Amino acid sequence: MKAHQALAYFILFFLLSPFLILIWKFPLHPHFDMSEFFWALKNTFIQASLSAAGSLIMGTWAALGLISMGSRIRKILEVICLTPNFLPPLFTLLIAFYWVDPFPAGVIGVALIHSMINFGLVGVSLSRSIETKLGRMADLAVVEGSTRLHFLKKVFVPTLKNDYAELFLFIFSVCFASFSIPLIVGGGKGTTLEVLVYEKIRLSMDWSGAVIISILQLAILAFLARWFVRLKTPAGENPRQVRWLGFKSGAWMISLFAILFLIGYLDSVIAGAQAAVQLLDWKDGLLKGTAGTLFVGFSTGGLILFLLMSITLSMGFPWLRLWLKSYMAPSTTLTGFAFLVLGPNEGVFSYFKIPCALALLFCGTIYRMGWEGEVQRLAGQMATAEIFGATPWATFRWVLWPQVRMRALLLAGLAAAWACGDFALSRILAYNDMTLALMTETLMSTYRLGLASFLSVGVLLSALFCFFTFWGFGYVDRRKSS
Amino acid sequence: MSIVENLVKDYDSFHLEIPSWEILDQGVTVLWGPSGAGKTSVFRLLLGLEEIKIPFTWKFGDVDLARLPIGERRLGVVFQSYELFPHLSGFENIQFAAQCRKLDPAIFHERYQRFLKKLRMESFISRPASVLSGGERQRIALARALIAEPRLLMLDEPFSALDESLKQESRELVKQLLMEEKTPVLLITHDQRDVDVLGDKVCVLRQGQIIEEKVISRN
Repeated sequence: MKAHQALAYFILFFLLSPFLILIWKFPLHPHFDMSEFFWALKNTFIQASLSAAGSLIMGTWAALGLISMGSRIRKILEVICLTPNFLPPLFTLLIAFYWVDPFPAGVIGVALIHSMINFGLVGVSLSRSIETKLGRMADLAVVEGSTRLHFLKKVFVPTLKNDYAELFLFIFSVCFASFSIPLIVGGGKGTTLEVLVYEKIRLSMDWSGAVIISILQLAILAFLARWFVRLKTPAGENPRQVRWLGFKSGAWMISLFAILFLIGYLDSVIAGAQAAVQLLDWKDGLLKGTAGTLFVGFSTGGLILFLLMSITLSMGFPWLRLWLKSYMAPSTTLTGFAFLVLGPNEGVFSYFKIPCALALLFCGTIYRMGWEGEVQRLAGQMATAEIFGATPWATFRWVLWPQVRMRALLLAGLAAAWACGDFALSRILAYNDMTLALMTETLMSTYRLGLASFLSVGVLLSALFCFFTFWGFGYVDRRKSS
Repeated sequence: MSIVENLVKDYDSFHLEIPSWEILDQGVTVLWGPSGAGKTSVFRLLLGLEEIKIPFTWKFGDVDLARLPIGERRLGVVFQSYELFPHLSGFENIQFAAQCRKLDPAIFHERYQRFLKKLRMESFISRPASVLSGGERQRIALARALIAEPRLLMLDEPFSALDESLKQESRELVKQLLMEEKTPVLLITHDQRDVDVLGDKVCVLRQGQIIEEKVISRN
């Protein structure tokens, strides 16, 4: 077997491993409680629909605010919009708990957090669609004396309805598979499929039932993904500014969101700092937690880097390309438990299992976040190198790495930062609070929000350290080789 | 003479079927046809870049090239978009191909100097490929494809990305180089002028089938 082929099979095996492990360890049995499944499915559908609707409504407002601004302010507002998406959800949770007290547990609470996280992404995406698809029409409308409201009603909605459908489906799918937020704010009545899988394994030890639910959930997500591909709207033309169409209030809303986000977090951190003396009892735990966080972050980033490079080197196999296009990562809980039953969990084992499981979960998202395009861009060059008889190592060293290192390390850094903030999957695999994020979650669940916020600064600093180390390595390597 | 036999593949819009096809072992064999006739599919299948259900044979002397892994077929290629490595200089692009084929450094140096002069690349050879013009990139791609003495040089619409004014000059340059190199060439094109200037044998492809083969007399 050649190196390319071995890599291709390794990727396939690794990404499917949670299912293979669980089916191998726990053969499926036909006794399955459908009523429980349908109840959780209903909750999941309601939660995901409300989250998508909330994100779209707020996102439209944000989009109209973004297009009303000049390019410099707009860039700042876009960064604010996308921040909750790139930060671990832990931070959004802490801030939401600070401002909304008592926080409504259940479906509403989950939808609220999801909307807070995703509305900015919707806003940025929608503002791009407005400028690329409506730009010329808006110019014409201004010349012909159309009012803003008239244009919104007669052109905006009919032209962008497919973009709305696409965005709705995207946010719906993301929220449908969300685990960490329903775990914290779902409550007993709002049990989603992901939480049900978690409970099946943790509480009732029904492994077979958990695997069946996960497979069904994956089938629904695959169906949604197929639908999403069909809906995918064509790219528009070159963007044109349509500032007259925007609402400045949207920009104010984004600014207010940023202020509330910042004040909520800082105030909570300051309150936590005043009580920080309590953390001295945890001195050893904190040191271990920091080391654990950095280890998990760097290992996950490293594994993502390895997976991205392996995927790129194996792209000569059309079956792998096709499979990755439609690949959906297994659920967080299923992945967590699959790694849990694989070998021992004491001592250092958890430290190795958590990065592997996180890399597996992030791989699909990271791949679609910009690596797919990179692979397509390089396909011709890779084929040329192969025709000239280049070995995989030569292709990697001379063709691939110099061109992709910056993006690859940026994505690896992002994965590392996410890994630093993970508490959901780590909670399944860790035998104690091994990372700062796990400690923060423990404090949150015991309603010590100030201390949790204070500790989350450590999570943030670790995440930033990992991110900038990966990114900085790219710069250093580029300067060295130039 | 190299002979391709039983090249069959089904596509959405046409059925490619070439029962037997001879490629000259000297001079330029042109596969000519309109857009959508299947020229690029044939090109990619011969290179080994597309999977095929029914195996075909490509006898090149004693060797069946179709059975060899892509890198071991020892083919030189110039794609329509050239596919230079944009971060490497012109020289490094050519050197890359020579190193992959483990070309003796002395032979590399001698051939490189020859191509450098023949293709008039001195002024841009050390610049990154990403900043070169279409004509300059084409010459680098040609030198890269020929540097390691390939069995066969395969050119896929090599002039189509050039301005009209550059095309004729480029054809003449390529023609001169190929006459000296004696490497057999398979040229894929839809442009009749490429056939007129370069072709020694023309094969007309339409709807996935070769409907005419004609050796062109250059006397």
